[in-house]
Amino acid sequence: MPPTSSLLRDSSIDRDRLFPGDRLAAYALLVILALVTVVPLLYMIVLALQSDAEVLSGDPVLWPADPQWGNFTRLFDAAPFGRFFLNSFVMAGAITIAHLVFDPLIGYVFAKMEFPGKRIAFVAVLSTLMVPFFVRMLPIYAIFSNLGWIDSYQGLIVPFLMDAYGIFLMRQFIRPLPNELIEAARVDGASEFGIYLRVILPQLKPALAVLSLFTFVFQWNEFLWPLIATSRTEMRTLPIGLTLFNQEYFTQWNLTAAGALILFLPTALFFVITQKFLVEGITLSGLK
Amino acid sequence: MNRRRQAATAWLFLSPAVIFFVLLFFLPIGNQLLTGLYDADGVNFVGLDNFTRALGDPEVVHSFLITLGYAAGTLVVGTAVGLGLAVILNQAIPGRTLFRSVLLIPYLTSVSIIGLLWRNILDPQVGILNRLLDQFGLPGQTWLSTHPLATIVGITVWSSAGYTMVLFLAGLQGIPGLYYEAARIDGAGPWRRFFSITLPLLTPTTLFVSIIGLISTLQQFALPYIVTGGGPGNATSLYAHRLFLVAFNDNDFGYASALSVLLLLVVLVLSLVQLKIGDRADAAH
Amino acid sequence: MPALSSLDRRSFLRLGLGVTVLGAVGTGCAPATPKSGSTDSRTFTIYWNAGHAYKAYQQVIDQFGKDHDLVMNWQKFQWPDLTTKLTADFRSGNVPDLVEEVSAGTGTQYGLDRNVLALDDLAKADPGFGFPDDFITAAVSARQYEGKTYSIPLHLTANGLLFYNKGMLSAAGFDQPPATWEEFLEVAKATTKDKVSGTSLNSDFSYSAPFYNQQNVAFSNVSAKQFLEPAAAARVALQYMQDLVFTHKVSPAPVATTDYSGPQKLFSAQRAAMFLSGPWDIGPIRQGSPDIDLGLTVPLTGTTQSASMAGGGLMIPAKAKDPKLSWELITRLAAVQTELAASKEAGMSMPRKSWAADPSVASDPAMGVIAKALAIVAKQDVGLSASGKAAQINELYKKAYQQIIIQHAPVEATLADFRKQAGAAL
Repeated sequence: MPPTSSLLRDSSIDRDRLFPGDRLAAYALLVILALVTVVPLLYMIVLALQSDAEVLSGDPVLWPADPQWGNFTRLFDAAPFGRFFLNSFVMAGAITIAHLVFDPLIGYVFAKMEFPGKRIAFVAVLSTLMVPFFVRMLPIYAIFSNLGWIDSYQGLIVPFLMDAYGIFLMRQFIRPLPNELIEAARVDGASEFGIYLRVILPQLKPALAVLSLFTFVFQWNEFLWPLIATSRTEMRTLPIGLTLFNQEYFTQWNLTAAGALILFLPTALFFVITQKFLVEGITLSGLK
Repeated sequence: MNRRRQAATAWLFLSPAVIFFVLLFFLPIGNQLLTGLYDADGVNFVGLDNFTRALGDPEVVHSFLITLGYAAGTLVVGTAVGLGLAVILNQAIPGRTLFRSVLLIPYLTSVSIIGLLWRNILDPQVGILNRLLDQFGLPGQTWLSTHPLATIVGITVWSSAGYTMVLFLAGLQGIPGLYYEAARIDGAGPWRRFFSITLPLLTPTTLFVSIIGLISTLQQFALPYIVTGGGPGNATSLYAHRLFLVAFNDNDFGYASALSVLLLLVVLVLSLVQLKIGDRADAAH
Repeated sequence: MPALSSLDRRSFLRLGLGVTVLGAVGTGCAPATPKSGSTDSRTFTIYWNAGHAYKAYQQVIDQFGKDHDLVMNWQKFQWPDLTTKLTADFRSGNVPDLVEEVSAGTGTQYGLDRNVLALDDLAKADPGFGFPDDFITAAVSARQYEGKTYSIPLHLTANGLLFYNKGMLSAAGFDQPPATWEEFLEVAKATTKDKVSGTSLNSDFSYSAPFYNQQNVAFSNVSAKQFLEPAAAARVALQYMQDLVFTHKVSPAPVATTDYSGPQKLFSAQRAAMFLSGPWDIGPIRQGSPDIDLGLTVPLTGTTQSASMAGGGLMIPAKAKDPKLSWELITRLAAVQTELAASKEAGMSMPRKSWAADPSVASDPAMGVIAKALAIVAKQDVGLSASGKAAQINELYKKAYQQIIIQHAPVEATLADFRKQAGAAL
């Protein structure tokens, strides 16, 4: 059996024995926790279907008297939400692709290659995890506005082309892969890049699914940078569009929640596509 | 020769990362460090004044302390809940995949939405939770006023438990069944097996979860910003929120830069300590 | 005053090492001349509060674009987001052409940092606009510092109006709304029942201003480094508010959120009989609960009758492409016919005397109450915004206020703590 198949191993016979507690109690707990998790999110649907009068009336609504499905279309009348959606999609999509290109390659270098300065380089990359984005935001904004990159897709995308989290994650996935595979390919005369492309990358499918989901979700929901880096309506993204429904003294809850549900759709879809890798069987046994 | 060629190849592969991180991380951060040595207007060189000022600033010290509390609470509760869920969902129980998926959904939701949603639910007067409690004849809660920080911890755990669970599930699946067989033969009970096999062998995962968790909780900004605005009083004004206020509210970028450098140092030190402890624990097994 | 050389150094620091390096890289791969502004000269950018995007303004802006052959880029934000964006813009030099100001004094603060223009010369050259003569004095003087005006008032509202549920008050035996603090407490006690509170305090600190103003307390006197003086009167005001919540239990303790609508919602849900707020809550109540017999009356009298001023203005960034053009749009947005259209549309009250004198306004009962409140708004300390520390000191007061009203902290010690911290911040 090739060792790499451990990535997808799902040996439930072993796993059953890991569980120490009472089955039934655990199951009950699970149901409760799942409800606690999902009910608040379902409440968003209730909020989205309220009428304007219900929003303002101050009485919390359990189920709207007359569900306003039209709130979803009202959204698109209030602002160019189609365009916001497209911008968010271009931004999050391009960044996700960039991560898929760069993070595994860099992760591979740190996981499997030996070279002087490796430790320092790795710590340097990791240290970038520890700085809140808004700390480096202003210098980057100054640079980008000098380059004329404000209100452009490259302006939205470039600051996030790769990140330490993705590199770290990829390194953790690649480390347990057996060195013998690499050595064998080297003996066959494959180039280093060829080894990465043909030997390593094919083993990483579940890992790449995880990486792309987390990256996409994170960038799709990014707020601060698109707020700063755009000042034209046609370049704004969905999370920024949603704030339009906070009036100065009250929030238009129905439209905000409707927008939030629309915001949630693509990430949910992405999740459905990747979930078999995510919740079924992945191994990060090299996590350290 | 071969070794030199591999080093050259490694650095060639790394070159996009080098360019990216230098231009978009290290130069801006270095710039930040420089700014931290100047006053609010960026005109006068004040040396380390901004740094010493931070240590004597009651608001900053307060925000730092509550951030430590927030991080500790979130890490302990979040790790426990995530691990518990992973252990339960690691069995062959009906609806396993559905449960795993449902629990992960909050992690896919934007933090601004989560903040707005919980603010709406928890409002003691006009929120849905008290309305429901009232319907069942139960007394209403005022958690946002009486236990604001714990509430923020709770919301954080709620939204990230699924993510922690996934990481632990992955870790659990990496533990070879062999060990359990051996323990069984030795007559170890299920709890004993959990504490002497599962937990120690999960150390790498726990370490990853806690380091990433520490880094993100110490930088938590959006949740208190949206849910409580840092209140009541300054009870939930976490460090990054304070830093944001100093920069964008007070317009004091010199001081804000100094605060961000201090945060970087703290996170770095704590992460290194954690790694060290983790390595030792790892080596022990 | 920073000398020119230090300004250069400042701009170096602002743009920093990154610019120096990336600038060099950028000239290689970017269009020949790096643009200092993100938008071309035919685009006119306006930053606005998302809650003020009235149709009346849309029409003016559209017409302005047509007249000057401009692409009008009207950006709407939440206030905190607008502030964040503007801060970044000022620091990078990439600025909009016209900005709505959060509240009186913000323009002064930006102006003294040389980020927005003094508008006096433009106003003088444009006598038909009627600034400052046609504007209510309080709105103008709050925007002036050392003879310069950094923003033109756009809206003018007053906080401290008494909203009351006529049905609940008469059921408790009151034909008239309370006029003094004693009466207010009496009515609040009488209307507090089971699930109804007599009143509801707001979690936002600015709603305490009418209370301390009614005790003749000035929030700040920066030249004397004083805050909330006289101290005894300030204590009376905040103690009164705290007692409403914790001693008399006629108001629920507010919850700390970034949303100000709690009291309005309780009132709309018929779970509060009275509350103090500004004209902005009239619309939501009428729209959400048309069956409430809404009473609206003038601010209460403590030792004096007073209200607090609210409402923003318009400012022109110092690096705006064409300040004259920006000014022209100000004159159209703050023209009396635009004001009348906006107040008809949204119930917003306005800073012009000619607006207040217009029959459509003078005959409207709600507007009449607002006008009376505007006549008694307390004077603001322009020194606070000029100090550049207004936001920081407001943040400190927010903390003190919430500790008193939500967390039941002792009033005197909390205020003393606030005075100490605010003094240190100056």
